[in-house]
Formats: sequence, structure tokens, C-alpha cells
Amino acid sequence: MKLSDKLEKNTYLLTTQAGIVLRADVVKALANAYTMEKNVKAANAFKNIIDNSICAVEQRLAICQDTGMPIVFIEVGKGIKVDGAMVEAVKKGVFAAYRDNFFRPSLVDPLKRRKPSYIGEIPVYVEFTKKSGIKLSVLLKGFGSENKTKLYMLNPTDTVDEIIDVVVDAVREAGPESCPPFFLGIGIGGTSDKCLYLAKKALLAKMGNERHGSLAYDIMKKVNKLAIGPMGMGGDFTCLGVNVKTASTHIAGLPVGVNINCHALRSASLRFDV
Amino acid sequence: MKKIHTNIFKDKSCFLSAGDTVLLTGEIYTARDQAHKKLVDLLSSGRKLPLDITGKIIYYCGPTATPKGKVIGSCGPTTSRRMDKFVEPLLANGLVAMIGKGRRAPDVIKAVKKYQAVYLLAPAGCGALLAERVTAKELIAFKELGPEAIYKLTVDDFPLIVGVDSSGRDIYDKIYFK
Repeated sequence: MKLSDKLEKNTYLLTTQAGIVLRADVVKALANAYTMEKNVKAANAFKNIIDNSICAVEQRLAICQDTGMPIVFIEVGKGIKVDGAMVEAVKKGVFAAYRDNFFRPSLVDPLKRRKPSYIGEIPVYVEFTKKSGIKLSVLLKGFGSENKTKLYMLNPTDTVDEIIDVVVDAVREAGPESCPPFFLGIGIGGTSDKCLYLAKKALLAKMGNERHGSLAYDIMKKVNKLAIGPMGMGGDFTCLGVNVKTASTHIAGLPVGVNINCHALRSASLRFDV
Repeated sequence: MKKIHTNIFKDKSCFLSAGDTVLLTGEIYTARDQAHKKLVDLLSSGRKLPLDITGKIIYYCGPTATPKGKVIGSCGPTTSRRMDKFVEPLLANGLVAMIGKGRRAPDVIKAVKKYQAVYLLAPAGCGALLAERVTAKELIAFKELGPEAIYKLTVDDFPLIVGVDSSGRDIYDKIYFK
């Protein structure tokens, strides 16, 4: 099989899986919260969310009607011959999955805003790594939470506590309407664009796998004190997971990017040999 | 939990209190960003709306495409705040209730009280579950908007929580803005 065909087929499968089957770490976090939550209204909201994920699989329906903006990440390993056709191939796979699974066409020209389509200029990021094979990931990002994305250009002398404070501010502002409890992707360092890219990419990894010492835990603890809870009904769970990614930055700056994801964190990844 | 029919809103909505859990049966109309813009543009230019909104309930929702053999696809609520700026003219023209997710602006809460309307919350991010409670879907207006068109949905025991009641009480006053 040609590499572009392989990419198209795998992107199709990953997009389908991401839109219908909730990630295992997400299900586990939701189930844990449902078991622990004492607030009746919040626990009931958790029950709906869990029932919804089961219903989506049983009925083969999208987990959420906002099937998001599809974002594709391709990590190309050592010794692989790359070709411009790769990007077209993954786009083809994504669009076909949207069509075949009856996902919502949500893409529009930003100024003309005509009839939404499932075909458009979606973000496809290509990175080169020293690992072997190709790692392909698809993230379906709902815009209720994407609209709450924040970039803070902090000062280089600001403390970790101040980083945590701006993350808490971002979540407070996101509030009940962005489908809490949230999963947070935090980018620290880089430039403004790199920082937000890291924040987005942090959402792909299993939640809790990118902790940076106690930072992810400290963020989660403080965010949970906001007591927004599922549907804004309060309780102990405003955030169900945090991943932090860092990169070198400039001596004059400290960029902090906060990418908020709703409780339906929908992504799927696959590594394959070429 | 109260079981209510959409017909009852034609007379009054004051029997509902913020925080109440209800199961709604009857007809509701989907409309989100672009449909709201079109409706309010029509009203402000003095033209007729493609549907009479008197006594009607709007659901902030843009469903997925409908899979073969099903009534509707995933159909959960979208963020209500983006529709805040369109609320007052619609309430002034007879709209009685809105269904969505999240907080409303103070002006909207005042308008809900003024027009004796109600704002209801649907389970957010539970579109597959809600699809099971929809028994019919019919295109009403703005076909060119695709998923953002206005559809009439017939719902059966649609699970909702009262967000803002006709006395202007807001569920998020108690829970969130401490």
C-alpha cells in the first residue's frame, strides 16, 4: 500500500473513532468523578455524560453534535520519504469520515459565512522526529471550548503560582457554558504561536502523562476550587485532567497558553511503520 | 421532576423556578447564530418572519447530519451567550422560552423577567442521548444554512433544568457567582 493511501485510510479510521468512541482515559476520569461526586445535581450531570458516551457507541452517533474542527498531527519518523501528497491524503480521510459518519459540517469561510461544509482548510501539522514510523493523531475540537482559549504573555520573573493563577482565570471565564468539567492543555514557553500549539498538542496524550513535576496536579487542585462542575452545577470536579508541555523561550518572556477542552475530549492516535 | 408540555408556555411560564428539573414534551424550534441574525434582521427591517414565533420555544442547536434510518443525529445544546444580543427583539415578538447551555448576560435575565419568559438548560455535550428523545424533525426555514437552519423538533420527555425563571432568578447566581 502506498504511504498516501495508508495515511488516508488511517486518518479515516481515527476520525471515526474520535467522533464516536470516547477515549479510555476520559471515560475513566468521568466514571471516577461520578462515583466520588456527592452533589446530586452534578452527579446526575455526570450520569448523563456517561450514558451519552454509551449511547453514541450503541447508536453509532457522534458523541456531540459539534463534531468540531478536525486537527491532524503527523509525526514523521526517521528515513521516511515525504511527499506533499501526504497532507492531501489525510484531509481526504478526514472529510470522508465526516461524510460517512454523518458528522456535522461546521466549516465556513470566516468572512462570507455561507453554508457550512465538512470540506475546508483544516489544520494539518507535520513534525519530524527521530523515532521510527509515523504517528498520526486526529483531534476533533469543539468550538464551545475552543472559543475560551487564552494566551498570556507573562513576565520572565513571574512565578509558577502566577502561571497557575492565569490558568484559573481562564477556566473561570470559560464557566458553565463551555461544557465543564474540562481537560486542560497547557503550553508554557516558546513563542506566542508555538505556545498555543503546545497547549493544543498536550490534549492528545493520555491525561496525566505530561505532568511537569507537581505542576499539572497543582493546576487541577486550584481549578477544582472554582466548583463550576458539570453543566455548572457545582461539586468537586471542574477539571478532570491537565497535561503540560514546555519549550525553550526567550529571556524576555514567559508565554502561557491555555487550551480548554470540554468533557468530551475526542482524539485518537496511531503509530504505524511505513 | 415535573413533566410538562410545550403548549403550557402559551399561557404562562411562571410555574417554573430556577433549579427545577423538567421533562418537556411537544414542539421546539432549533435556531443558532446565523438563524438568529436573520430573524432579527427581518424584524428590524419590518418584514415578516418565516415562522410565527408567538408562544414558541427556541432551542440553540445545530444537529449533525441525520444517519440513515434515524429521526435526527446528535443534537445537544450550543452556548447560549452568543445569542444574547438577539434575545430581546425575539421575546418582544412573542417567543416564550429558550433552551441552551451556560450563563446569560444580565440584560437577558432582565428581559426574561420583563416578558415572563423562561430559559432552560439542556444536558451539555449529551447530543447522542438527546437524539433518543426526538421523535420528528421538519425543516421550517433558512434551508441554505444547513445544520444552522430552523428545524421543528418534536420531543418526548426532553430532560431540562430551569436556568432563569420568569421572576428573573438565575440558577448560576446560587451555584457559581459566590
